[in-house]
Amino acid sequence: MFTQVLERALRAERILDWAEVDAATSGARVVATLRVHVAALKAALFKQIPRIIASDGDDVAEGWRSFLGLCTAFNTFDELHLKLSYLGTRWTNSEIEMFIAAVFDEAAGRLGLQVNVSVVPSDTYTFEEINLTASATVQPLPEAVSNEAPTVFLPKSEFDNPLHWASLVHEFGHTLYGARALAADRGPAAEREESTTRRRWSEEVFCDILAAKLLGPAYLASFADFVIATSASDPIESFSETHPDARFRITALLESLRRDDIAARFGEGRELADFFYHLFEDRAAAERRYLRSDIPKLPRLDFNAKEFQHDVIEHIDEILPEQLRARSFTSEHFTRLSDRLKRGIPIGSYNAVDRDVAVPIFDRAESALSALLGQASEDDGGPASTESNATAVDEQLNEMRALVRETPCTVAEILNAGWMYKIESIYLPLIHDLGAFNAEMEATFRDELFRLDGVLRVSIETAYMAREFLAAFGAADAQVMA
Amino acid sequence: MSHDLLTADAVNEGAVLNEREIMRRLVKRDLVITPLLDPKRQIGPTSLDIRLGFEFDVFNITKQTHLDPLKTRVELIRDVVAYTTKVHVGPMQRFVLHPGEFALAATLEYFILPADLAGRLEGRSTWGRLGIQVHSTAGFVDPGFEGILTFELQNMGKGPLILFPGVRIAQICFFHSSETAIPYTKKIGAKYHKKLSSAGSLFHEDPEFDAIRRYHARKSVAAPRKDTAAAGSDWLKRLVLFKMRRRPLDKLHAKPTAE
Repeated sequence: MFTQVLERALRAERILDWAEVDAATSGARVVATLRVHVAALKAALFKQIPRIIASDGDDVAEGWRSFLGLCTAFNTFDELHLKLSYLGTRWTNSEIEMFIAAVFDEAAGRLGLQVNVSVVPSDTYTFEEINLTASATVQPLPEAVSNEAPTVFLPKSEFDNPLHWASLVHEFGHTLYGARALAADRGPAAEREESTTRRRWSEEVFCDILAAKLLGPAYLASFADFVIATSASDPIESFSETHPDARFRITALLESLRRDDIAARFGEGRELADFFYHLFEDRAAAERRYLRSDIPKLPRLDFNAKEFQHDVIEHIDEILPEQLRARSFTSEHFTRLSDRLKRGIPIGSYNAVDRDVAVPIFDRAESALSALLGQASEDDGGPASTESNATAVDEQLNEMRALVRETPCTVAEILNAGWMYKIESIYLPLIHDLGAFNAEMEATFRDELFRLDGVLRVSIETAYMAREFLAAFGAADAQVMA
Repeated sequence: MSHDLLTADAVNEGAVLNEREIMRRLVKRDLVITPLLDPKRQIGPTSLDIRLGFEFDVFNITKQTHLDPLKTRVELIRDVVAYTTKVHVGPMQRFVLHPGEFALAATLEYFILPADLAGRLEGRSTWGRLGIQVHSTAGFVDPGFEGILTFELQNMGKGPLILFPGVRIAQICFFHSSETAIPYTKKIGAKYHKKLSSAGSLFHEDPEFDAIRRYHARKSVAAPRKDTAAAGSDWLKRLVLFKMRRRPLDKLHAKPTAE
């Protein structure tokens, strides 16, 4: 939870850095005031470090203090985020548009739906979907103009963080759900049989599982990362009429991933969903331990939770084409991509043939090509010519080209690799050396976070463009062949 | 040419690499160029076509008179920020370069060059015929360079040119050298390493300017340097005071009147 709150503080601080460049003299005072707010937040956060270390040794009193201290630090961040409304804002950036186009447009298109959703930066630290309507129009709108604008709110501080854009997919799911209601699909009879809670919760669970099917464990990571850093007054096991508690949702996500056998594995046998599930359990355990009286009791459900989750998963399986779903991520594949992330190389595309496999094939093709060129040269009695055996030369060249051609990554691959890299190379090193935390470590943590953001954003756009281009190259090649 | 010579890297130092030598370097991950989506069209006999990226730096019409290298680094960074605007153009979106205009742009590709390979950026004739220049003077890529490259785009033609990210706007060729001991990563003062977007000039980071700044700082201790407006108003005040002081002197030395 320490790293999550620190990350949020640094992201808010970065917005102030940008604002400072643009601010006129009078605005600069507002920025300076908010900087004091950030400094107080960080000071409160750093005060928890000795307590966190002590609580690792089962010191209950220190554990309680550090838990409440971290929750209070998050509250301070939450208040600060609201104050970001005093600063100028930016509209959607092109990378978010590409992210949505890559994940959602295709899904909506294949489901035969036309959904036009806007993404708007929000001053509250929440992800939300609202259908904006002009409720009190002075004069009625022309019939051709729709008075509906499905809008998704993305917290300002997460605007440049592609790993949290995964939550946008859940929010977009609401519009999809509205356009193709789960209950309607299964017929009115099924709807009548459902309990009210079951019917109301089904939309949230539908959106969660849809996002997990499209993005794999990266969605669970984004959801859990958001949930575990919250206020103490907002226990993660609380629920509402429309939203099941976080445990219910995370269990449904895990069930969906396990049924599809979708995993994202990285260093030392870790698995992305399991890693975040354990973080979630740690937070839940801390709440039960320190805030027992505040946690609302979950009412006895008048339906079977397992059956309910199963129904939603089955329904999405029926409507979501196989080719849109995220694939499993092997540790070898992660190693290949994480090496690139470590060096700051974008992962919009990658060479799918391993070096050790590629080199001998290349050498063979190159030898064969050299022999062909030598032969052509002798036959012609002049400089090397490829005319006499053009087809054979082309074959060898094509084999060599295939070994250097890169394959575009999917958005799911980019986000899963990003989360795994972030845990392995940014979160865990900080946690391991927390006792020695200092300004230099804070600077490294910040630089690494923002560097990763940049690499992932470029990767998302490159991957989108690469897929569009490859379709065109394929068509052009087919035309030449014909 | 014997097979041995063909499979070895360009034998003569300084020789340009052909398509097989470029591909061999790529297969061995000795040379990294990513994304590489269409080697069939991108890799030519002795060059590789490269694409326009998403970031552009356009130059603003500002109220600044000039970029003054004698200012402090912080002031200069602020001035450079005011001097240019970073424009992000998404995939399939357009960027218009008007006749005579100059803009910096990023390559789509990220490059890692080994310590024994130098690169040379060149335009493609397809675009050259429309009047576009991809670099004004800085087309050389040092061995050991890592990052995206920056184009210095200029439209020398008569009509506006519409550009899109991803178009093959330039080409790069590679030259073999014996392995350098100072690849770009280790070069003192390397300023454009591992960049992910087009990078504006960091001329003020050259240490020569430190010496020039120090010299002027020493001089300004004797006669403090003031900003133009303040200096102007001081000068006027002094002039007015001087003139006011002279009047009684004039009167003092004035010839006695007939009275």
